Amino acid sequence: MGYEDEEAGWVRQGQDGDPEAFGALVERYQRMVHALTFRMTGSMAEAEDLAQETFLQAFRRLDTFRGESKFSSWLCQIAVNACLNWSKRERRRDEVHRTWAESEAALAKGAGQLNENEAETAQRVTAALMRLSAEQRAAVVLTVHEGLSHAEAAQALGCAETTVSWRLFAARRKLRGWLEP
Amino acid sequence: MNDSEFNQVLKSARVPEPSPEYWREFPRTVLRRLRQEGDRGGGTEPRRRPALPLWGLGLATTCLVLGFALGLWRRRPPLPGNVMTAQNLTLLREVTALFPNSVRAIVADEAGVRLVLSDRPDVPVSNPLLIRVCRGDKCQSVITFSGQTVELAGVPLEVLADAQGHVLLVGERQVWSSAKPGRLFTDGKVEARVLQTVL
Repeated sequence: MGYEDEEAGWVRQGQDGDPEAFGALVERYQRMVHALTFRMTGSMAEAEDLAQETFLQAFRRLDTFRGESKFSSWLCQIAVNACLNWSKRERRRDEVHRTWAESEAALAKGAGQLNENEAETAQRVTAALMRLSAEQRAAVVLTVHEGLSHAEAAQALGCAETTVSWRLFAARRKLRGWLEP
Repeated sequence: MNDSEFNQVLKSARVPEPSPEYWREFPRTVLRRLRQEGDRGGGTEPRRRPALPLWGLGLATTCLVLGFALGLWRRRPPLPGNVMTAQNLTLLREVTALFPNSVRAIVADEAGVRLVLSDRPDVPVSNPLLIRVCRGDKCQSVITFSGQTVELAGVPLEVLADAQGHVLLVGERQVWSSAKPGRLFTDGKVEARVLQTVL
């Protein structure tokens, strides 16, 4: 059975109320959803909560998934909207932004995965992403990091494709200003 | 740095990697929460759609509101020319400030206002041109720049301005000039002029 057939089977079983089949979908997409929620919040603790929230919402809405888009795009839509709601609800962006730099620096060096320069660049990029508005950050995360097309990102964000292009353009301009020498 | 290189820099913002144990446990945590919700009466089955879909009601309401708004808008008296020009210029200034050298055209028609952007910031700075085409009761206004190709009433036309401030519209089979405004479309009226000498 192919990758997509297998997934379609899990979706159908999940729609029939089989939580175990849905568990297989969680296992397949948990890293993608965690990456997205972390990039949107800058906090691993928040990312974990929002990833759980995303999958719970996905299960509740599973009957609305008709297979017109990829399951991963549909999941991104739920995750990014959970993050945008979180952003509105919590208003903790500044606090997260302040605390993020310290924890990320410790993580990068502690893991020993990156050299000093790479760790510094990664830190600057994430800090810059956190300075964007939630909507602009969502456009960058969905298109650059998750590889969605502008049309798919527009569908995920519930806005026009041109709106995504505008947000991306504005976000890139800001990011270039902050990151380029 | 081009867009592709810049994307690589953006992607360098890595995500912390939790332990393998965390990844093993996470699906179980989600399923546990689903079961807890089921025990509380929420049911573990995905929610079924109501007989009359909510989106249907939403769509009907939206259509009513849009129809009402469009009716009111059509009855509104036309704005004086100087007010239109001021509005056009304000819109253009805001948009070109946001997308310098990237605005190819701003189009206003029955569908609303939309922006036509270039993929790259390669639109040279020049005086903006206002073109208005009316066919029957349907009108389309376009603000664009010399050298751009725009679609007017479904026909692609290259827009050019000469040193005297006249506007030329050049299609595959026709040329129209504001200096000698003849018929561009059999059933339509065209006006074109420089919107302002300095933006």
